[in-house]
Amino acid sequence: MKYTADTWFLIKLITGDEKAIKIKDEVIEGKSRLVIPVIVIVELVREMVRKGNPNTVNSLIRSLLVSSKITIANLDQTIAMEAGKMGITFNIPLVDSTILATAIIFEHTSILTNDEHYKLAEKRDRIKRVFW
Amino acid sequence: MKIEEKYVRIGERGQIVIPKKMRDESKMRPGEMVKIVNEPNQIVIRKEQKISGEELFFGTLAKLKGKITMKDWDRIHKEREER
Repeated sequence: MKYTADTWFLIKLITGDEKAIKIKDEVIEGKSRLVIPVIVIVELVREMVRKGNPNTVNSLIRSLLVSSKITIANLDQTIAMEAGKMGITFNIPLVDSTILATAIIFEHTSILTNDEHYKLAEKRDRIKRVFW
Repeated sequence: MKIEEKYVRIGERGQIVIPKKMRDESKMRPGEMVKIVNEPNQIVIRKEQKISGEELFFGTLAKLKGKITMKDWDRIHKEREER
């Protein structure tokens, strides 16, 4: 399975959610692949700094640089253009449109999120939300 | 760890010497294996990982348990709508 992670999924993992851990294990075993849009990393780092864990940020970023099964999707002009179009087409916020565009461009169209902003895109078969 | 840059000369058979300070900071010992990766416009030397990057990443996330909760997700979700 090819997943795109929204911040929702990373927080589910942090809480020790069983289903999230199952998906994490699939990624580690190479049965699934995970794309994390860089804007999700921004939101995660903001929370880490907000909660007084700025030192953990460095080890987090370093681990992603050496991971072969998790891809950090940087915001390039292709994703930027798609995000702009998606934002207007589906009337969704900036961050959500960036995540949506990333999922489409990377063809990892199962987005790990419960965010209802993606509902219309899901209805039009652009992506599928995976949540529980 | 501070990110540093240094120029080194390439030997006849393609050998280079990694500066001692960099070897010490990255804990590279004689006899250990490193991975050389041919990327666009660069060759990268990576220390052999005993634990995978993804295990490290998920392990780091797990350390945040109790500090970041689903209530934070609710707030993040609301903040997105304000932008």
